[in-house]
Amino acid sequence: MRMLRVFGGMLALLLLLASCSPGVTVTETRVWAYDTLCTGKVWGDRNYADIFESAAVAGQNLLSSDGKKQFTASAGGDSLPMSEDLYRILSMAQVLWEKTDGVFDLTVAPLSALWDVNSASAPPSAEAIAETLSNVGWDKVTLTEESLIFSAAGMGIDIGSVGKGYGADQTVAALKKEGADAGVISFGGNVVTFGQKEGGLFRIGIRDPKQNEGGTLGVLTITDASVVTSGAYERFFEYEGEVYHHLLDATTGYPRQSDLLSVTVVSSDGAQADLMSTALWLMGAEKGWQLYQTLCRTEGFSPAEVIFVLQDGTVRISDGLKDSFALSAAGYRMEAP
Amino acid sequence: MWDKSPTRRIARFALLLAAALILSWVEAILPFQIPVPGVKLGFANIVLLYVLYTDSVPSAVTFGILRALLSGFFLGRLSGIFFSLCGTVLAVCGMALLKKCRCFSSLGVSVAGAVLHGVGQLCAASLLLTPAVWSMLPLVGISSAACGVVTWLPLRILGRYEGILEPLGGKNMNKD
Amino acid sequence: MNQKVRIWDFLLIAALVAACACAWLIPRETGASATVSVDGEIVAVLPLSQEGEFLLPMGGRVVVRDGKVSLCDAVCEDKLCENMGEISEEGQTILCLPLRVSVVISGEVDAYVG
Repeated sequence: MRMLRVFGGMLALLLLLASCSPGVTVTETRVWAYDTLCTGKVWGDRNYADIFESAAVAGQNLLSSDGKKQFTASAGGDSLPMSEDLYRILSMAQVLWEKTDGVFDLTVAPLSALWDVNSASAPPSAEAIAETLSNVGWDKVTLTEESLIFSAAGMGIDIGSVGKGYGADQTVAALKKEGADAGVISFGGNVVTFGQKEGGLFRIGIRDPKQNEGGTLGVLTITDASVVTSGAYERFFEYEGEVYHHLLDATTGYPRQSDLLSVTVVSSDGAQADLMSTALWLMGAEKGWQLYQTLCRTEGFSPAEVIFVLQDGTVRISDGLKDSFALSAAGYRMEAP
Repeated sequence: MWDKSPTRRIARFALLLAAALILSWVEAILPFQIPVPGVKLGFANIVLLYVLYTDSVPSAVTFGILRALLSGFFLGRLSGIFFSLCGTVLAVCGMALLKKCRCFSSLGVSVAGAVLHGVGQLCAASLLLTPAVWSMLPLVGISSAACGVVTWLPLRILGRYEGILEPLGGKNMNKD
Repeated sequence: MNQKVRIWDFLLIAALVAACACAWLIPRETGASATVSVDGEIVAVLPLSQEGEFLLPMGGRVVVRDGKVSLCDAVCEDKLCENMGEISEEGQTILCLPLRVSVVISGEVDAYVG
């Protein structure tokens, strides 16, 4: 009899646990912003589509109120007015420029426009590259809390990709403020997660850089973080057997050779994750890892974790992700700690 | 006095080890098997339990490790030795603890030992293969528990003929 | 050894079984792919959405049919892995201890980076 009672008690407890999940509304929504598809899946007590859409669109105004992504100086001395957020982001870019000896440079915009990797079929001429290169260089701009001053006409910056990371963070902030419980949003591949859904943490797939057809290198099981990946495989064209990709070396004007296939950065700050993933990729495996460790101790940078995928298939991962990353592709191996 | 003779104790240990190996072999040639990886009926566990109850805990641990190693060699299951060792060590330690706390009879100890054996094997598999093997915990755990009950039965019967293999004459060995 | 069986024994057994069975309560979703590993190293990832099979280096095949995965023609001595049947839900596993082969079903991911 006593045993029966104990069993009954256990059963009742289990049933209670199983039944105490309240009604949750799951909103799946998408909007076109940042020249890309922005998708969101939000868990909460109501439909959050309106909040998501307005926040995603509003986040585009980082550079100017009309949602522009580029700024080009029309004359020497032209300046770009600063907001607090933009100043913080550009300060990080400045630190990265210093620490990469100028290889990573946010003023590479005129050069990117010249290469136009998305639609080009042949590389630009050496003369054109040399000419444009004279309009590139963070040493030719002055960053203050009020403005970014360009020293020559034709210089400019493009915050397209940083803007996505920033906008996604802003959107998550807005959703949280309105009481959303959990969500996963993706602004053209910049993923931000917050809270926990019914199944627990979120599963974020990282693309296999060797497979063009969307294979999965591995899965990160995380929440409350932005995840950004950079790699030459994302945008490139081929010309006479050579591959030209979009990650340019601001010191040479040509696509940078790196022994990394991709770099993934996980951080609470989406803009930082975007800047870092590009800079680390440009630096390559060894220098990039050193730079990562330096940045961990650099003021103005939030804590970040990284996944380096090397050309030879080695996957190097920072300690903080050891338990949350699982490889799911053949041909790679985790580097022994 | 006679019982405490080291020679006798060693001979008895060896005899029981041989019995356990024979039981492992018998189990291996049975025409049926438990259809869950890593889970076996565990006839040898009968002898292990017997050693635990009639000899000391260190003896039982040594017995478990030796049996796992030797049956691995004899039955040609070299690849399984590590799994079997992990399972055995966890099982013996758990059983020794449970026996110490005096709340449980040999039934509880046997079942807990069987379940821990399965858990130990899963530990080994999650280390060597993939952590996803833990999804098999319910299957492994529950079928092991059933095996634990089955292997306890002969021990219970054996308990009635205590004279056949008389225990080492400790004070508390066989009183409760 | 011929102690009396006590209520604590049954409680212990019940607790052990309940602890193991708890894992069944975790809601499982339909899987998306099967990861085949040998000795802990991934050798193949098979999508469940399409029929296919993978030849294991030591013999035997991992077969995907109707969104379900099974192991056939294993060359191990006990053949338990074949008896494990078909799996299709996230987290389910086919294990062959002698061959050190594991097949694990992974679920759909929530989002892709990059």
